[in-house]
Amino acid sequence: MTNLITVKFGTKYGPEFVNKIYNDIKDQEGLTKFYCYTDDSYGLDEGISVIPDQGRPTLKVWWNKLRMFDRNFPLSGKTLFLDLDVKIQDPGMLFKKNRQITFIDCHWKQGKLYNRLSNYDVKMNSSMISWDADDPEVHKIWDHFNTGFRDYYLRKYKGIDRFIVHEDFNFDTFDHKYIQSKKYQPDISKWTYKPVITTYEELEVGIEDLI
Amino acid sequence: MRNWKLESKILSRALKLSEKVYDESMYGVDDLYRIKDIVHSVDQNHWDSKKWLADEFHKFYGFHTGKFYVVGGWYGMMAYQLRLKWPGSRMNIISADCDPMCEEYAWELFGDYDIDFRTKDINEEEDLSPYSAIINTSCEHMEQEDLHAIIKKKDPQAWIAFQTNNYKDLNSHINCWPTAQLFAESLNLKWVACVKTLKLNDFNRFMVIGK
Repeated sequence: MTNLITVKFGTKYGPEFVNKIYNDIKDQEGLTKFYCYTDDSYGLDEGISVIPDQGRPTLKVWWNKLRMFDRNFPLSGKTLFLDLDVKIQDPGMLFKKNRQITFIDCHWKQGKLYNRLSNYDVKMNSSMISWDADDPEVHKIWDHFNTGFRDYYLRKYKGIDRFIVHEDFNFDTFDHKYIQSKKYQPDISKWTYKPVITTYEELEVGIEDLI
Repeated sequence: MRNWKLESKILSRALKLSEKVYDESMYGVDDLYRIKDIVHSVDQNHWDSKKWLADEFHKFYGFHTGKFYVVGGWYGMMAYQLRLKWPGSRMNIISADCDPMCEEYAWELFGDYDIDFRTKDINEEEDLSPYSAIINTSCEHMEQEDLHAIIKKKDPQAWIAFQTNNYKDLNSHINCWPTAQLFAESLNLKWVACVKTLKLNDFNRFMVIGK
């Protein structure tokens, strides 16, 4: 059984994005509980368990995703995170087990740029993450962030993907078949399988795109 | 129009330090972003705003002796600007930052200016009463309650000279204010000597001096 969590901070995405994901997966057998970590729970459906802002350190927008790896965060056991701009295509496949913390492999990012030693962009993204909330290895990510270097990391890295990769944490990646990148793989009409989710990385998304 | 020049000696040292960071990246710690961070620390905006604080604070302080504590001192530019205004050995200047690399690089940039660079989180300082002034140009990076704690821990007669800004677009800027006056009011000082705004290229820097 798996918890599902979304993170909503700031005003870019309204409660309808959380409610959409909740309604897509609430009847799935593998789901234990649906959480939303947020600074504003207004408009969230009743079945959603709200985890309020955990306070210090104050973090902005997507950096709040990192808080999920805090050992004191009120989550336990197998957990799946989804970004609010993700479209679920096959909810039944969402709760497949993974051994260690798992992210999306951006295998569609190709070219010499990504092979540079000094490359800054990374070939993974955190639109979907699977992990065990009780895993001490995962807690190390949050602990590493909360050192005297925290402010430096916030300046150095655009978001948590680059922080996790460039600070050398180990992770698995989901099967390529799981993920469609709307930006890099817009046409999947010839695919012989159905992706589990569609990510809209770097694209502006309205709720109508996810229906 | 400013009527002073960036010190070529300091800029030359910043270049040599950048070379050292690059050399280190080839065989040891790979952290080329430090080069960008060092360059930022000596750029026009930071030079202007630190010098502005030192010039303004010098008008109020009125002594050649004392003990200044620079909070969030980064690579030492603020402490250096204070030393230029208070060149005598009876003015003791401490520059602290929780990022350990700041101490190392500050010695490289300003090691011959009789400044005591330290690695220290201001929240770990139990007693700030020995200091005649607490200077903090990193307020936008710090929790508001930590600013209040600094004011509470200082000697009642000790000065504070704090700066923040209205540049909210950076993820490391967690404590910006829309105006200097609102920032001043938020500090709940017993006495305010000066509330000023410095207009920079695309944002404003705010300064409060008081006790």
